[in-house]
Amino acid sequence: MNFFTKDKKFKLSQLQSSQAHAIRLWQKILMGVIISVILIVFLNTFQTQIKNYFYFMTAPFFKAFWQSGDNVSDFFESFLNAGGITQENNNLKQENQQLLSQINLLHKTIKQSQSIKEVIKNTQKDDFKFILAEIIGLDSDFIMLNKGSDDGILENMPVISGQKVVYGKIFKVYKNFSQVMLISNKNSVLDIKVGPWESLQVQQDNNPEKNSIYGAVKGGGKLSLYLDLVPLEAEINQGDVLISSALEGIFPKDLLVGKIISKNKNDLKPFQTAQIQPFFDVKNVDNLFIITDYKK
Amino acid sequence: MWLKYPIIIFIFFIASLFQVSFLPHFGIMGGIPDFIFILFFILIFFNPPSHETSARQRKPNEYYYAFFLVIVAGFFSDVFLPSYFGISMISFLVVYYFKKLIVYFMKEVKDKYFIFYFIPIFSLCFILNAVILYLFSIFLLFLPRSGIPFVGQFDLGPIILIRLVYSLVFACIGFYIYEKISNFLNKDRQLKLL
Repeated sequence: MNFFTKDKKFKLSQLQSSQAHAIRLWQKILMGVIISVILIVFLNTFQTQIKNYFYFMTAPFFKAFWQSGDNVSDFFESFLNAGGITQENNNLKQENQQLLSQINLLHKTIKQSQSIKEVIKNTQKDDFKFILAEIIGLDSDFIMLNKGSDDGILENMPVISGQKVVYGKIFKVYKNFSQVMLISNKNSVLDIKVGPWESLQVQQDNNPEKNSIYGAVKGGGKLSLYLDLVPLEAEINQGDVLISSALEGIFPKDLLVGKIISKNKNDLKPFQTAQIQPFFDVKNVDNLFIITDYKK
Repeated sequence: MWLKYPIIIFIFFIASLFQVSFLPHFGIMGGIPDFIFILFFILIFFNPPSHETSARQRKPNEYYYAFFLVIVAGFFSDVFLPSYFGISMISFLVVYYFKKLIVYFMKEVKDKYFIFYFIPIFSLCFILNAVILYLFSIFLLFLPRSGIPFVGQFDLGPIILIRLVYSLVFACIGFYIYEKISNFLNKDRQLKLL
């Protein structure tokens, strides 16, 4: 019986011990939960301040890690992309060429626009109709333009620049192209009038026909001009500007032709001549204007 | 050894900085490894060092240790989320108990094939963590002023698998490193009789 009582007491003490252990465990769990809740509530109450302070303190480390990550990834990326670099290089070269040709085209367009603006400004008082054409070739004293009969071009139409400088006249017309005979061609003859520029301005305002010296500009070949058929008694001087007189019926009047460089007066000859510096510059111009209709 | 606690806090701090500022440059389709989770899991996977406590005290210490890890890892994870503190802490706590449950039903193994127990448990816990965070993001949608940017940050999709595989690589490396360190610290310094 004593043994049975002892065994019962032992089991009872074991049960009490395990119950106490369980209570202590639940107390600890409850304590843990309470602490966690308090901690979470505290952190969320001051969330903005805590995060702001944390970011502020770690900002230098952030920057250092970020930059080092960037450098390392660039380093490895160069190895990974090594195979594609050649292809990318070729693509970029191709794209570069395309862009350069586009830029070239745009420059051309800009120049054309500027030429049009210029000619409109210079021919405000004149009653002309133009067609814009590009020079595509030069051969002796002939130039080729990229406009032809399809564009309404006819033979003998005058060709000028945006600054109202005479270049020549249409010599031959094709479907999409035209050949222009420059005024420097040996077969070209152009009626002009001579005078200093300032005096010409005065003449236009007051008496257009007074003191006008008339002559003819002839082509000397190889882009050169000379003045001929000027009366011996006429006073022509170095620097005098020559403009078209419209007497031959092809070129409108007051188009710039050239400037006298030197005169040649010989009493044995009926007329005096002069060397002319032409205003036209075929090599440095891209766009010309063909006058399709003007009133004499 | 009280020194391990500040060391653990410092390691989590470095891991969080690393994850947020260094690893984004090495993302695969937008997925980066979760260093904080990896570190947390490795620490809870290996029980507290047996040399530290007696067999009688080991169990309570294990829970204190796990509680400490949950708080620290949860804090460093939540500090970079545009939402409330506590979300990652709760998630890590659930992961801890889930891991305990799995390990309870498994035969205790400590040999060279231990890694093959680590990998599936890690994968399951990682997915569980992702699911919990996703559920929180849905739940927070219905709360006023809940931090809308949090929504969509944890999508369940192919990105989870990418992040899992990426994290697993680093987790396996961390596993071996921790094992070496643990073995070094637990080295029996008693002289052996030949």
